[in-house]
Amino acid sequence: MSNAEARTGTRRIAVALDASAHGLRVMDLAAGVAALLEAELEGVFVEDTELIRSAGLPFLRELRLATLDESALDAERLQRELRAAARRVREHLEQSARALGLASSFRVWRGDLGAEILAASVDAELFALGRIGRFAPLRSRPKRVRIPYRPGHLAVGFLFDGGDASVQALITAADLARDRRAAVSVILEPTPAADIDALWAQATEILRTVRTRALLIDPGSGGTAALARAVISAGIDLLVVDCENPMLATPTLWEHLEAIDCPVLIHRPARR
Amino acid sequence: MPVAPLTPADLYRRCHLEGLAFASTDDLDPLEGLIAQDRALGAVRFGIGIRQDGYNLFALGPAGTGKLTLIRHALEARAATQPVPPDWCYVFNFADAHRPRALRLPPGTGVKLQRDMERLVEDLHRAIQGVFESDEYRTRAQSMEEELDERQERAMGEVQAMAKDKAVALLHTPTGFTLAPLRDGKPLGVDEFNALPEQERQRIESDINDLQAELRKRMGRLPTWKKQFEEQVQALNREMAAAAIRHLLDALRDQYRDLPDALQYLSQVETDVVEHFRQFLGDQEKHPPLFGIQLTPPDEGPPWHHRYRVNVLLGHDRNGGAPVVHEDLPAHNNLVGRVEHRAHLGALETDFTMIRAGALHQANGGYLILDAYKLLLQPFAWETLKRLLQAREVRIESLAQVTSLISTVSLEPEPIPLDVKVVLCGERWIYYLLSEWDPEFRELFKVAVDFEDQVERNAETDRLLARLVATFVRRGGLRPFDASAVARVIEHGARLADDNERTTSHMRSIGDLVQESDYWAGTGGGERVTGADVQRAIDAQIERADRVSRRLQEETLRGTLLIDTQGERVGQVNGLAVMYLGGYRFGHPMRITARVRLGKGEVIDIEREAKLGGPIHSKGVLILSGYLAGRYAPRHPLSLSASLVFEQSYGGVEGDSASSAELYALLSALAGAPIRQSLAVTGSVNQLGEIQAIGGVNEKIEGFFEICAARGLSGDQGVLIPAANVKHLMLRADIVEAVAAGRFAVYPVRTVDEGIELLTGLPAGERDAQGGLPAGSLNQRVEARLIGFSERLRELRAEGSKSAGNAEGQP
Repeated sequence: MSNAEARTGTRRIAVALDASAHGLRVMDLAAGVAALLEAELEGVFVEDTELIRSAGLPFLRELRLATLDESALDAERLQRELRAAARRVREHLEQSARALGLASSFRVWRGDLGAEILAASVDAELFALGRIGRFAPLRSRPKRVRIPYRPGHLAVGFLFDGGDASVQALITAADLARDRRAAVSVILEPTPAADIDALWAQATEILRTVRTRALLIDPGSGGTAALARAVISAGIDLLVVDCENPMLATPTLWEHLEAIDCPVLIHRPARR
Repeated sequence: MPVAPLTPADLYRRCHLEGLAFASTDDLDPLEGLIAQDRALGAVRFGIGIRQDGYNLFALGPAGTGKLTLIRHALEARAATQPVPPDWCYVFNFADAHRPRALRLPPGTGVKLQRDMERLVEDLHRAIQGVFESDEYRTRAQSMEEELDERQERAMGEVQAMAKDKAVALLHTPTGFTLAPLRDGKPLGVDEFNALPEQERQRIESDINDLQAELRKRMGRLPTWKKQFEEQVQALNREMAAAAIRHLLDALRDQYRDLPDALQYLSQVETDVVEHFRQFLGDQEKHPPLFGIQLTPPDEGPPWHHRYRVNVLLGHDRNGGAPVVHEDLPAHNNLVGRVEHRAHLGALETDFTMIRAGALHQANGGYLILDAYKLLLQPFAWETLKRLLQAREVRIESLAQVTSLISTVSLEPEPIPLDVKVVLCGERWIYYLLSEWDPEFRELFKVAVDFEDQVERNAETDRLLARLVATFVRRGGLRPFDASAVARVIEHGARLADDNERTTSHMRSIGDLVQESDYWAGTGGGERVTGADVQRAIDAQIERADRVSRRLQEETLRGTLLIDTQGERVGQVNGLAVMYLGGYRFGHPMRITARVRLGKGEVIDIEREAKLGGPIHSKGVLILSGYLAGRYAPRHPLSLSASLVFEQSYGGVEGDSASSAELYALLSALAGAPIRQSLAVTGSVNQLGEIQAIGGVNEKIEGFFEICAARGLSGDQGVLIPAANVKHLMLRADIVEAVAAGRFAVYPVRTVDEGIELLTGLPAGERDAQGGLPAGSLNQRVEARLIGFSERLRELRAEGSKSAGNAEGQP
């Protein structure tokens, strides 16, 4: 696959959003990737139906962060506020896209965030997902990944296990590193069938083929915790995973996201 | 004894320059200063020497007398020995931006401080950016941020843990947090909740109420933590900014250690920079780029650091002496300075860097020369000057502020102490008017520098004038003037002064004549300017200006204007008027006639009746009644009705120089004695019959001579002038030649009797011891006519009384 093909492979990047600072940070990262790949940016505002479902209970109260006011959790009001938040997020997205010269679109996804969020990414080659909605971190600001953080310089991590989907995703990730537009680190995640040396050689060969330099990282054993350490040590802003990665399995998705504490960019090969 | 005509020598006083041996002006030393203005010079020295308040100067005298030159030379000589005044700068007022601060600095230091501050701002950018981009700062700042986030996360995490134990979820909402009961890991809906047993529902509600209380308690701490965090960050920022700039400011403080005002300003700058350190972090920090793309910042006007600029309102050379400033457009703004504005986003805005100095600032510590007339013409300029001199400070205010026409917010720069000596130059009438009507004027301008417009003509002044000509020649790079040319210039100076014993001190007229003579010499190809060239320049000056005079002369010669120059007429005399048009003065004869008849003793001035006569002219005519009443028929009532008129005069008549001519016409009419029309008359008369001096005698004689010469000089033509005016004669060469040839005459007359004898050829007649007048004399004929009028009037009254008595006696 040539570089040009790899570049043209990504037409649209979707990003899951909510009204929190965490959601907006993921959107900024996704916009940066879209700018590098010259892809369209699509915002997917998430309305968690599970939150609205519980809103009718008369004894539930909502505590507002800014004013510390307290009020009953009214479903209609909650929906109105979600719509208002969606409008605000949409404006933010459009403004960012305009500034970067990107085409953009926006839609609202309504469903169970815990069970069905990946369904929102079906049409996108890349889908950025961070901890949002009821799974968002309890801190009001996203954690700084790198010290110092330099605007305009993305650090992209890639989780490589040697499978076909993973190879396709690595080629896309490598495209980000072309002309040093983003720093790419490849974190090797050997499957039980492959050893780390073979995986290292495979990744090196792919990177050589696409004429891209990237940092190869062996996180060692330790599962998700080791991965989280590797993400922090490499100062990764966004971790690219292929759509077949086991991390994305529904029951454990949010636990993994919480564990690595880094938004992921899910790669799905383009349908031609 | 008949009056003898004047000799040619009486008509023109030549300049001989015997005491000054020179071939041309090349041999003469130039003249520094002015001729015979010692009194003015003394007043100037006094005025600039005395330093007390109110001793400002007013140089009064006609324009062109060299006032400005003398004043400027005197001031510059004095100023060169005086100390250089301080520099004044305007700087930003950090406490109140609308009131820029004035900074007083030693001469030459203003520009240095300005450059130092520009360099400082550049250095501040580097130093502050460096320290805030340092790993130390980032680490410390992020550590604080982390601490806050962790405290918050920990607090909320505790609630979350407690909730988890009770199968309750802590959920984000768009604006905050809420708690929801869980069932199988999912929030419980209303229907599901209601389906639960009562006891279970109560337990859940109770748990959630407890958890909400915990949540409330922890969230209540957030604002305090946030405030603490902000204070920590602020303190860190101050610490880092202060550390970054301290050495830069210390270096400057060392340079200005002897200047308390500058040190105070530098301290204020330091505090302000620390306060606003973010403004030095560059556009990327103020407007962060989005992934490498720098977004265009909004137009925010001038850069922030302009507030650290130094506006050098007034900078001086250390060795320059005190300033001498001549402001030739003394408008309000030019005097006090102004605050300029720039257009920005459709509005006008300004700041302290746009304050501009006025003439008072520039002259502060020295001298300011202003033209009084121009000053008075400028709206509010005079009032402003007085106010500032009284207040002894310059306050920059626009006319709009002074007149309260607008109320928009503008700058109010701090006033600057004023120590200036003002010299006003102007005509005398301005000085006298201000003295009379403006009480503040005499308090503020106590020194009058009165310039002579004429000086006595003697060998010394002739020599000085010759050197003045040499000065003009050298200064203008003109051809040298030979002795005849210099002499002619000096003689013309006397003519300009209207006095053969004096000469003009009007430098501009002499300078103009010198330049124009050089021009005419050039057209003739001469290498030197001769007397003929000077005469040609004088003739050309007249020719350029004499259109009206020529026209009057032409119409006289064509018979449109009736002027006889031969023959005799009763009650008619040639008077002489002088006219002043556009700087050119010329004389012209006017026919004056008188008619008499029996009346109530009044002389009617037709000019006055027609409102064409001015008050002085009317006064002259009224004097005639007094003369007649006192001179003739003292025992009879004056029973005369006489009318006097300037024939063919359609404009106003002013002055009394024709009163003797009017009297001659009246006497001629009364006596029935014809007057020689070959003569013209000028001179005023008093009640005693004495002829008094008048102005413009040269022009008047020349005006009549022109007509006579054009018609052909008969030899008996001439002019009667007051004897007191002989010293004023500087007549044209052709008239002098005609007199020398006996073809024209000028008679100096002292009394009416002398004049009437010349005009009528009759003896005037003196009263003898018995009070009688010689038979046949003019005065006897006049008196006889007046007595005749008086007796006839008595007869008429007697007849009137009789007729009235008969009428009353009728039954």
